[in-house]
Amino acid sequence: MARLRAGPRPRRCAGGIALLLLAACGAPTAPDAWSLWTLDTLVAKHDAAVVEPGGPLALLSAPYPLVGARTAVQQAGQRGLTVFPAFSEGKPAAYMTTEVWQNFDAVWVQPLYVDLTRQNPPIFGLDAGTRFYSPYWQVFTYAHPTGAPEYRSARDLLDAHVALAPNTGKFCSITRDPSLAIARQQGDATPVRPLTGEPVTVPVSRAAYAEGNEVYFIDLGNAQRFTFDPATLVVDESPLYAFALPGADGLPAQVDLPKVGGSGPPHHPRCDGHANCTGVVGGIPEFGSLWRVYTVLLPPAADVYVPAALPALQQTVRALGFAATPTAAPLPAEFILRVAANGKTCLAGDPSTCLWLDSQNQIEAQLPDWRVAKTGRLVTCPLVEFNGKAVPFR
Amino acid sequence: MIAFALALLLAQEIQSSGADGYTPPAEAQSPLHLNGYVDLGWARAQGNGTSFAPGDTRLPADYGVDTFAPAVNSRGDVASADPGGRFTNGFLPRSVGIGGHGSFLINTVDLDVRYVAPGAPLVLFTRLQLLPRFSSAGESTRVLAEQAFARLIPFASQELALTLGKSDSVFGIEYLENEANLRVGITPSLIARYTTGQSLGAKAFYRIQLPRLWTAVSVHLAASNGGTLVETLQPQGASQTGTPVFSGRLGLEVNLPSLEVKLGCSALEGPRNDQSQPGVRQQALGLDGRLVFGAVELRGELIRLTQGAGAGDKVNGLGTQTVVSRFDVRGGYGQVGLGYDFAGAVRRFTLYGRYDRRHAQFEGFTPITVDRITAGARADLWESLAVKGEVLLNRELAGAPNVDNDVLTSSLIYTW
Repeated sequence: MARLRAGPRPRRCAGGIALLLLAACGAPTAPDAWSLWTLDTLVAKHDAAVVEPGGPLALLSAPYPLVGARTAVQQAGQRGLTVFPAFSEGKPAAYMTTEVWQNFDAVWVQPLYVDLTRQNPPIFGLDAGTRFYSPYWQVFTYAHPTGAPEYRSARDLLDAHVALAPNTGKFCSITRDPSLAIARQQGDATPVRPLTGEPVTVPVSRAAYAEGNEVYFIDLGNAQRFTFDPATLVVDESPLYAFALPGADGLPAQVDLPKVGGSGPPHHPRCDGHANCTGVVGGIPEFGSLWRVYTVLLPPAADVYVPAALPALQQTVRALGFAATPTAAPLPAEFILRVAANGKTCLAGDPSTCLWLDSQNQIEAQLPDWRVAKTGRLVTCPLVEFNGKAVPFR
Repeated sequence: MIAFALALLLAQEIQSSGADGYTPPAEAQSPLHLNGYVDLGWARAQGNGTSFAPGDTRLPADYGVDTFAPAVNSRGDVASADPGGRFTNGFLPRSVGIGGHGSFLINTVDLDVRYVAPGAPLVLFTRLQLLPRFSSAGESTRVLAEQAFARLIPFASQELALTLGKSDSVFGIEYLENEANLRVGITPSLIARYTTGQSLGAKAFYRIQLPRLWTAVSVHLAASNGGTLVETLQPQGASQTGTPVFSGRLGLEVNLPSLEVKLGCSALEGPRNDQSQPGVRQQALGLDGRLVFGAVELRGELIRLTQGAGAGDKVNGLGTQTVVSRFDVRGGYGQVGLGYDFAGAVRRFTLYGRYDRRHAQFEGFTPITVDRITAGARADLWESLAVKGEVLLNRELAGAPNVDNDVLTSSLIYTW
């Protein structure tokens, strides 16, 4: 769902409904080969993943349903990370986008040094300027010696010969902007998921050092949100399914619809499609931060659910190439923009017979493998809603 | 240096063939010459023989330290390059695999084959080297065609040499001491990795003498597959971009009866040959100087090198890597030697010291600054034996964690 552009000039979402939808739910255009876009790159590129202070919140504006305070404007004092609606395990989900890798085969965890005495700010082993940076860290705890000077870099710590104890993984996305947080609509007390208005996780921004530099980072709590191979330090990736239709050249062209988050390697999901999972601790999934984008070429019978009460959204979806078949009676809001493999017939007849493509299990069960293609894009999109609920902050 | 001396010798031979006086018939000398040397050693490095700091888990492991620091021989091989299982991205030297243990070594077994074509201004030269090594993977001995070239001296009256094949670098002056029997000390400098690699391509050398000024001016130009970096960093065996790397040196030498001064400036420009995109470039500039006055020899070099960022197709002498990171380095060294000649079994005795400093940064990583103090002695015995001993004090001044990586090394070389 992250809208990413390679062009030098930012596009405005107000240019038309189609463009708005494109910017909002995005089939992202490819960044430069072997590139890494960090939070600050996304800010600099005026990417739709980041909303400027007081800027329009495209996904909370028409043609989408207006939810919450219905102002569709970002808080005035801070930039916000766009909340993108998605589906996972047959339920609504949401995420924000913090990094994008193009053509990388692997992403590695790097060390994060945390002082147990809390005298010293956290120290990241790398700053965000290298393509070996990642927001996935392995925590090493230590006790800051009494009277010792402040440590600011890995060299300071290693030269001090303090005992370092390896600990769990932690997600922290580095930025130079101390005000950067999740996008929150003016008038709302908490950030919400577009389309349905459910509250989502509220991350916090904290200060730290990264190789001697003062930085800030997006903190989603101390629960491990990813897994990695302890031998190679390579972060495990999960599939993120992006729907596609045949383009003019016959190749799959991604369409701007909510993506579907998987839970494990292809054909090895960690969940059963109904949120019965291994790797979910206290409602916090240990998958779904680092996603590998897979395109899903939809069959001709597929269709998208749009309520009849949202005619502008229906028109937009039809412009993408779907029928947006109206149902006899409205479905619950959590079905908005959900894709059914047999949508053209089931939406017109009995929606209870729809084969919804809203989980890894369903996509792999309903579609042949040749319709699902791995791409060269890895994205960091930490879930702020999973299984229909805000991911707890711990 | 040997190759150059051979070229001069050949030029003299060609000149003499057309001059007055006795010239031996071509068939009187064998056109084939076999020479070589064997470099034996004993070395011990501190710690585990690497520059990797215990407890440092940053990746790639070779981006935040100087892995070339604990060198033990004239090839620049280090005591160990074992990252302990951590991911590296191809910025490593070769290793003799001894870790922190003292060990005897066979550094190099060298065989030089030189063929001087009878009646033609042409030299064919091949340098084969056997490098006996042992590593954690077991026997790791390599056989290397260090040099293989043809050299043409087209004009008997001009000091012009054209070379095609794999031969020494043209950048700076340290390549003149690539071989252990020619190097005063044992280990190369901290910047040797950028200037002393053997290049595969074409070279042209021209020198003009100005006898009234006791001076000569020389130009050395090369177009090669990989430039002048060592093969682990920039492979020479094939051009991965299809575009040559150009390098060259402009030299000035003043040869007074009691004083010898040589100055040079070098440059390199071309694509990085550790990846496939011609647009990903590398550039280097260097300055060098030598002064010989009586028993004293002073020499030094400075270099600044920049390599651009590329994609993810990095392949070098160590194998397939990943991201082609931007890299910037500047550094240099100064060396003083004090050498005395004798008439007995000890033909020459040399004391020497060198100071190296290097500042380098990989894309987005913390810059690291290291230096090194080297001290040693060399004794040349009879005609063909040299014994050397050397200590290296490596220091991490900024960026890289401090690590025990000093080295004590020695070398016994017999030349035949």
